[in-house]
Amino acid sequence: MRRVRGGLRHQLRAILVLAWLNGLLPIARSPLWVVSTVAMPISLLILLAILYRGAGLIMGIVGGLVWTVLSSGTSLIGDAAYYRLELKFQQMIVATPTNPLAYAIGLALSEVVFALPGIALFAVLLVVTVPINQWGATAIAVSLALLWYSVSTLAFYSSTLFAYVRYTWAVVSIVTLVLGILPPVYYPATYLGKAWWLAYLVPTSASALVMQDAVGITHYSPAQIGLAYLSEAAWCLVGTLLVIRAARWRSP
Amino acid sequence: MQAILTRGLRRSFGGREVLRGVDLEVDYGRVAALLGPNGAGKTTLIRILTTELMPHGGEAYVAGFDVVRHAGEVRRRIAVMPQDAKPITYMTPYEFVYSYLLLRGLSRLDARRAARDSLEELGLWEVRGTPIYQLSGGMARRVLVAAVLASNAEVVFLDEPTVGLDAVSRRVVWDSLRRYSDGGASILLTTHYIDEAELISDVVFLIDNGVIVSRGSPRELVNSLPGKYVVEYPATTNYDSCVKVGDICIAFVESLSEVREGALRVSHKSLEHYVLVTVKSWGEGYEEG
Repeated sequence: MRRVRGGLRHQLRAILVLAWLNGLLPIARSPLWVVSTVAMPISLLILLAILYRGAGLIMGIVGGLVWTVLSSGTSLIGDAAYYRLELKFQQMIVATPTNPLAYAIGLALSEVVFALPGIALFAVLLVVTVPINQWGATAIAVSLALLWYSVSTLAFYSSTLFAYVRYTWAVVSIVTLVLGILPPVYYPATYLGKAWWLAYLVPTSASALVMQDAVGITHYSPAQIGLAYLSEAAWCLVGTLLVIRAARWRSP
Repeated sequence: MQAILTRGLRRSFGGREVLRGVDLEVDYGRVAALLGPNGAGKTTLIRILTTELMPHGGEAYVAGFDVVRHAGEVRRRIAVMPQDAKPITYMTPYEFVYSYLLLRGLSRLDARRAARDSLEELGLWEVRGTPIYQLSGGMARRVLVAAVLASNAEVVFLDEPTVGLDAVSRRVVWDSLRRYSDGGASILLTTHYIDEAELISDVVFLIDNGVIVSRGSPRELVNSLPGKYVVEYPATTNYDSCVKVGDICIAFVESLSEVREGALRVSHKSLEHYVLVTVKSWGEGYEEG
């Protein structure tokens, strides 16, 4: 009989295997998926650029970056639920040395593979459109990384709440509306007036707030930026705790 | 040490007790079949033994490890094909088996070798590069069996592995299972095909309403039935020695001269007849079982 190990090295490899089988492989088989991932943020970008010219273009690019990362998370809801409920693939992986956190991160990484072309596209557009210094670029990168982590962990947790895979379809649209359109992702948080603090309630607008400041389209105080980072970090923590709690392999 | 051992295993869903004290033991190198009607508790038992579901009482050991306290150790030694499992269909059979083996912790070299051997054994090597969505349902099912058997795990759990397979494919799977257990591993499978259990299993456990009601080799169980032949009559028949099962009444006779008027079918006694007359809760099953 073949004994297998389940140490850290195996977990890291499992993450890459999952990113390959759920990210690279489907893209290689059908590149249209990449186009569909960026279709909506590009549509919004075009609309904003036509309506508001320069400022609309920059808002559309910042929003596009946030939206693309958000969509990688919402896709994770459907994929994780599909693997668990329809294919029973998760149950097969339960009976292996791969642990739940590696499984969740592997799936999340695979969704980033889908989003990477979109992120690259919007990043290039940003560099071409707006002069950004090193600090600004770092702030954007950190903010997007925090957003990816928080959205992915929350998405994986959400996927565990469904008992039937088709129910996820409706929820994905609602989540996209609530996290991508309603909060100040495609418009400045200052438009909310006294209620600007609402931007901190979801990770997408907290991230957008940092990016809008970094590209100079809207200026926020250092305290407001600090709070945005704090909000993103808090969402990461909440997501991690929920994954650790909910992604236990065993049903109680 | 036994490959699988349970004592008084219990599990409820809501107020309904699905497992009501299951005692079961399977030795290494054996194929064990778990038979029972829908909702009897077969899948629940498999889910507990594969560390996916917590028991609510009793004890369960797989490969010598407690499934509750040493789940990690159990997971390194088992492989499972869940009920209704499907492979990822945009992948090819080779990609699916190979990536599953990597997730099981095999080295790339071992995974490549094992994937090839298993795909060849299950007659899938010729289609190794074809996307699974282009294969028949039976072939897709065999891809799952190939992945699980390529793992070379000590204890393998298969929940209805041959559902949807044609007669030839079923035999291919049966041969693979037999060869796998000959290597010293233990296999616990659930099935609704009683002929399958009779042909490939060394030991049969009959579960009904959450308890093991009968166990033994298929031959032992069949021999415990009276007579030599089985005669099926309509359920409306009122012969004394007739056992009512659904819409038929089953009688056991020593010779064909004892067959009475109105018989629907006469056949040699088999494991199917044993199961039919031993199980008491036909048609009462819930979905979660």
